[in-house]
Order: sequence, then structure tokens, then C-alpha cells
Amino acid sequence: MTTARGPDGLGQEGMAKLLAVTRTLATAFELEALLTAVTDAATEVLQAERCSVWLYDASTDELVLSVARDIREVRVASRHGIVGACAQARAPVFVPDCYADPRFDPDVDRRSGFRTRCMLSLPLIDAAETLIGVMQVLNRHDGVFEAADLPLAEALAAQCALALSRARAVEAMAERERLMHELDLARAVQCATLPRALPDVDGYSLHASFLPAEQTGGDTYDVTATSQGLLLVLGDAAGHGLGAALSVTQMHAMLRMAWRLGADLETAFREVNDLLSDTLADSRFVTAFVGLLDTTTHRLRYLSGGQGPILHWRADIGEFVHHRANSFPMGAMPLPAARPAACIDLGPGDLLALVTDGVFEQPDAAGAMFGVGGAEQLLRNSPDETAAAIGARLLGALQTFSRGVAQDDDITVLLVKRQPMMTDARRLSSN
Amino acid sequence: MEIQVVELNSSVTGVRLAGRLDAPGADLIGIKFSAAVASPGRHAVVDLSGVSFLASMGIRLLISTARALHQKGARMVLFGAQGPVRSVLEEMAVDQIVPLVDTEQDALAQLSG
Repeated sequence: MTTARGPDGLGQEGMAKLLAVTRTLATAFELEALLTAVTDAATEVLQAERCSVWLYDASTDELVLSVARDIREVRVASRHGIVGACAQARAPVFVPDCYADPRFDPDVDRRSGFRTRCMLSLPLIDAAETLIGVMQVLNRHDGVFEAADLPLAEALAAQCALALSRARAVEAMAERERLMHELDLARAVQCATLPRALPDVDGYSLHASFLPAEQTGGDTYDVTATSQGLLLVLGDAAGHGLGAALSVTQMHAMLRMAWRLGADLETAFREVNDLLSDTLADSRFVTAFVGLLDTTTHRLRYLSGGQGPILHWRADIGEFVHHRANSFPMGAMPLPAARPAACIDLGPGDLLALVTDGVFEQPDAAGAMFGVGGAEQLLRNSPDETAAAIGARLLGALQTFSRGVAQDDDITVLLVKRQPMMTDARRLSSN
Repeated sequence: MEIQVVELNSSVTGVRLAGRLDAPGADLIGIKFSAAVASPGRHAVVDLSGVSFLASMGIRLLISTARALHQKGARMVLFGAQGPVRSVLEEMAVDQIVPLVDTEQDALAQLSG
């Protein structure tokens, strides 16, 4: 039988085999294909009956048997058995007679039906000195593994570790790209629900801003003239990513359908709440303000499911009044009965500010939150300011406040300002 | 963020939360909190007196856990929330689905009522 052993360990024949293996490993990029290439190479080069590869899972501090014939995934603590001893010592472990070694765990043999006679375990350590896993070659064809096998085995293990490390990096990159694609999709779904333009409403100045976070926070808004009045919606789904975007889009679509079918505010709110409660997962719900403004009487009737505080700037007293949500977050559970709407009367020069928590919870570089107080300071306004000017001031200040800090939640601001009386100030140009 | 779990009696689990219940805080204790109150047939009372800040991800954790308990026929009651934490729960009307009372005694009374 031909062996790869040479007098100086890594002989000419061993070197040739190693080069062939290196070429093979260089062409495999997917982890699974690479693991197969690694085990094939090790069994051939080291004249072994079999080869297993355990990959180290740092998140659980376990070794995971990733390639072995006749057996599915096995996980062991990183200190368990011979494989654990090799991982801990980061050094080769020779075991000439496995069943005579107290560290040997015969469970894998029992499950695979293979009988391990002798074993050489080699740590797989990459160029950054990170433990990738452990390679075990089992049952040398012509005897047991010896020190003379070590140069070739270690050279092979080093090549394998580099290739596995590279494959893991490629997989991580692919996963990042997949996530980015999912986020792009989430953002597209979310943005498709937003109105393209705000309606012109006599006697009012309107403004809406939506700044999506990189992770997509699940905000939405709507401002639409309906037969029942000016519909105002501000929604924020719990969580981030595609799930949150789909939850809020679902809420938005249900509300629009309810309006199209002629439902009143209370019925629409209850029906949508109950449908969301039936269809959303336990961890999902949507905080949402749904209001109808009568632009003739200036009375706003609303139901707010967990969306609060609702900020009402009273021009007559020069103060903000906070209104609480009058129902729990939508979809959290069914409503036993329709809830009565609450009312806000908008006086001349009053401002209604609907703001998602992405504004209040935006931190600065030191970790301090922008807060409700911070928002209120910037929303205080003079009679002749338009909603657009007030919104620009708020967002500008928020940007300055959070300089150097990533925005990790969507930011949505909806401002409805009733124009002051003609005698109080010059008429505002509509937004 | 810290969490302590105690068995208050044969049918009620007590959970004491302390620290900032924001996104990192909720991440840190989320699994332990959900697991601690998930025993079938057991109610839960949650002490928020040590919580200094409550953000949307913390509220999400409280609501989703209360929902999961509700589906198993059990209830969750919050108590001890102070200042801004209490305001957030009230402003978002979370107290309409997860009762919010002052003391542990009130919470236990709510469960037996």
C-alpha cells in the first residue's frame, strides 16, 4: 500500500498530495462542498478509513459534527471527549486505541454503526488564530497514526482551516446580502402604501415626513379626503424588518377597505383591530392613530390604539395638551365592543402633531433620548408658520441631535395646523 | 437590565425587572422573561418599580408575553411602575390589556378577583 509518510514527515509524495488538495480546496466555496472536499482529502492523504469534521459554534460554545457518514448533526460541549480535548488544547491528539481511552465517547460509533479503532484529532485554526473546529481522521489503513504523520496532517489541517474560514466568510456575506435584499423589499412594500401627495384642504396647512430606518421600522401614515372627513392615520408596527413592514401594510390596507365599504370610524377601528388580532403573530401589533377631521367644524374624532402621546398645540393658551391613546395597540387582542371615539376641537392656529416613537426614542451620541419634551420645544410655533416649516425645524434639530448615531427606527411626523383667523395673522399658503 | 423570578404562591409567578427596558434590555432578558412566565396555568405579576426607562421594544415584550399567557388561560398584572414608565404605559393604553396597579398586594388581589 502506498503511504504519504516520508522520512522527514512531509516528503515529496506528501507535498504533491497536499498541493493537489490545496487546488481542490481553492475551487470549493460553498461550505457543504468544501467539507466534503476536506474529508475526502484527509482520508486519502492520511490513509484513513474515515474523516469527520466538527465545526466550532462560538454562540453556544459547542462543537458540531458537520461531516460524518451515516449520522446526522451531533452537538457536544466544547470540552467534551477527545474532540473537546483537542479543541481546548489547540493541539493534535493521538489516540492509538479509542476504546481504551476514558475520554472517548462511543455514542457516535453507536449511532453510526462504525467502530473507531484509532484516531488522530487536529485543531482547525485559521490565519487569525480563530478556532474553526476539529478534524478527526479515523482508523489508519496500515496501523495507527504516529508522530511521523504529523507534518502532513498539520499542513492539511492548516489548508482546511483557511478554506473553511473563507467559506464561512462567503456564507456570512451572502446572508448579509440576503438580509439587505429583504430590507429593500420591506421598504418598497412600506413606501408603496404612503400617499404620493397631501391633499389641499382649505383653512389647513399639512405636513408629513417619513424617514425609514436602515432596518425598516414599520411606520406608515395616510392623509386622504373622504366623504366622512379628512382621514388621518399614523401607524407603527412593533419590531423591525419585513415582518413589521407587512404588519403595518396589512393594517393600512384593511383600514382603506373599511372606508371604501362605508364603515364609520368606530366600526372600522374595531373590525381592523379584530382582524389583526386574528392574523398577526403574538409578538406583533401596530400602534395606530386613526382620525377623521371635519374641516368645517374643526372637530377631530379619533381612536388611537397605543399611539401616544398625541400632541395638541393650543394657540389660545400657548401650551401643548397631551392626549392619551384611547385603546390598546391594534391587534394585541380583540375588542369586546366598539370603543367610542374621542374628540379634539382644533382652534385657530392650533397644531395637531402625530409623531412615532422613532422621534422620541432617537438617542444622541451620549445615549440621551430626544424625548417628548425635545419634540415639543421644536413644535412650539408662531401663528404664521406653516406645518412644513415646523416639520423642517423638528427634523433638522433631530438630525443635529443624533449626529454620528445610526437611526434604528423609522421616523414619521404628521402635522395638521389650522390656520389662524385672518385677523390674527396673514393667511398661510397651503402646503 | 436584571430579572429575578420567584414563586409567589402555587399559581402565581413573580418577576422583578430592574434597569432600562429598551431594545438592548429587552434583548437581554426577553427569552428568560417569556420562559419564566410561560408555565401553563400560572399567572404572573411583574414588578416594574426598578425599571427606570421603558421604550417601545420593552412594551412589545410585555404585550407579547401577556398575549401568550392569555392564550394559555392565565393573566399578567403589572405593578410598581413609577413616573415616566407609568406615563408611557398609560399614554399607550397598555394598561387596558395588561392591568397596572400600585403594589404586589394589589396585583395579587386583581388576580384573585
